[in-house]
Amino acid sequence: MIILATGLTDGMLIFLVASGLTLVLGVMRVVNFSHGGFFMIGAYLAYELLRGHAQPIWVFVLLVIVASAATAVVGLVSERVLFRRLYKLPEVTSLLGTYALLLILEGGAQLIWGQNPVTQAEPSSLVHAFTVAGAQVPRYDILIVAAGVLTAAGLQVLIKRTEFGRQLTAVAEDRFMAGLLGVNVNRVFAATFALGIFLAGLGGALAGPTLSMVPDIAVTFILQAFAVVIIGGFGSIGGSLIAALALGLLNSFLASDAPSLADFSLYILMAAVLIVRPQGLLGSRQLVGEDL
Amino acid sequence: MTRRGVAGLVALVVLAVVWPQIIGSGQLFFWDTAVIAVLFATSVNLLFGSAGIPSFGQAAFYGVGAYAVAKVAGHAWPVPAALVLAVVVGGVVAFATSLLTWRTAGLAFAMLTLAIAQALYTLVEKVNWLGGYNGLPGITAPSLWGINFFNQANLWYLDVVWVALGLLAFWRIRRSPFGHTLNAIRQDPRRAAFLGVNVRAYRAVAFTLAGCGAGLAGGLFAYTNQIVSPASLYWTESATPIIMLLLGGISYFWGPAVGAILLSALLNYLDQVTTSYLFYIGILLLVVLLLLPQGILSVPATLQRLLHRNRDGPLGPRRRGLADAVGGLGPEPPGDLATPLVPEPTDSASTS
Repeated sequence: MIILATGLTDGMLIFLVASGLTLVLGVMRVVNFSHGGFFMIGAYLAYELLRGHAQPIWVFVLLVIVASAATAVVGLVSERVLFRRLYKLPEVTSLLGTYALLLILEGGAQLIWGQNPVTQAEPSSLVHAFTVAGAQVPRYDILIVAAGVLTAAGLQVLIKRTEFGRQLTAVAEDRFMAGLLGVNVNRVFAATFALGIFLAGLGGALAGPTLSMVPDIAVTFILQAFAVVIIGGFGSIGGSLIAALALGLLNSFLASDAPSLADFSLYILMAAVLIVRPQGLLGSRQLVGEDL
Repeated sequence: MTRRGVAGLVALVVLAVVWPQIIGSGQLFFWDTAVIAVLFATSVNLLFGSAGIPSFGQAAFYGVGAYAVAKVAGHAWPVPAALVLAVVVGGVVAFATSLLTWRTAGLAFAMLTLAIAQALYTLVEKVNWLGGYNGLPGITAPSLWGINFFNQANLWYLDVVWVALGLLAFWRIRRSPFGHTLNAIRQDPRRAAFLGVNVRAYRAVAFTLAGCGAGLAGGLFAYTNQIVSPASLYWTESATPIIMLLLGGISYFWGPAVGAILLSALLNYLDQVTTSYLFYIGILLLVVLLLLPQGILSVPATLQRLLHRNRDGPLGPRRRGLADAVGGLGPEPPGDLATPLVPEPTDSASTS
């Protein structure tokens, strides 16, 4: 039971980060290395707002959302200043551009917050664990799982049921045609990017209490999100949800039953999926470059 | 080779010979690592500059080369045998990687190489036989023909000679029919395939050769640094040679070398004055990507072109930027992403 709960929580956290990554990849065709940087910015901003103390839950939730929104604003600025210029360049050049942004964000965090780890307390009412079926589950896990479920449902509604979602789908499918049909491609890009970075910031802000914050989390945490995007299929949000949960659960199972394999869960899962389905669980073949 | 080329080469050889006397043994370690970086970056440029293969996992092959030398140094293997082993191990691991990524190209390939390299990093970090997290310390190059490599100057000559051999190999590869075919594949993989080139096989061979070069560089690093740790396989290490070759100039043979020396010197300097060199390296990379996509070596040609703009006649060889180098590489999505789809992403271009 505890394995299940831990796995689910881990998976949801990874999903929050990976969903933003895959959204930006699917719509804008940019592999955004700097996503991990925004994850870290979200974690630090939430820490700054909460001052590391335990707060009542509603204050915590409110300030986490404020921190995520602030991260999205930073993202929006970088979209204006940097990504605008990258769209015109080939994919691999833009990949390096986002890597440069990752270096700048991580270096900037080192300059502002230093290298010493800081920690953020959980909200005061969620500090303790509760007992389910004889297992101790941290209460804070509920908040993370709830955020993950809300995000998944929210993205689903946004993409399938709203005007913006239809525009987003159109731009992802064929941005040139969408532009001809009167969709403001630039605005869709900016909004998509802001949304993706909001999710990165949310993931960071929520992950804050579960890890010790150093600027380095920008490069470590992103790897799992990358793997989830590969496993789930490039640009597929549903795929990344499945992949993230599978990864979280596998992590958790291996950590308790086969600790020596635990760090490899990512690669085991990835190898298994790629051998059977090179385009990922729910991915399209086009983005894999199958024909040359 | 032109006379200027010969003169330059002679100057380089003389410089390499007298270098230990010029700068003294205190700084020699830094220069050892810089020339090793020259070889590493040049090997990576076979992928980015020649073949147009965007690999983000080259640190893995560098790392396994370093570990190969570290393992056999304990058994007192002679230096040439150990370094040849590093070349072979780097090449074999790279070949295996190219088989795993056989069906992918472009962005997917970049992410997969990153993931595979990271898997190797995790593996190396876990295996006790390779020293685990702490790595393997106490690597020394055994004396060869009476030459003792505890001497800093001798170690420098060892590094320089092997780096020169590596560069010579990549020079020959670049000039060979094989190298020209790689150019053709980079410029248009589909057309190359129509001409009967087995694109995937060529890419696999290029990837293997680059892995050999990275393995040699890693092996030299093991002797120089005297300790290898999993950190040399970490994914951010794969980005360093890419930054170097962009900085120097992707379309020049000597571009990665110049970039490697410049970036090494810059890192060495920044390390002394700031705790956060990443910030400045990031800004540098952005400036190069956006303002100087053809690297530092393109500056003279650009200036010349500006000066002679009004004259008739050839403007000299047109140099490629990263844009041409890796354009047309990735998959062809509906509507051809290689060219800008939104004619010009300015606010006035589209209205809603």
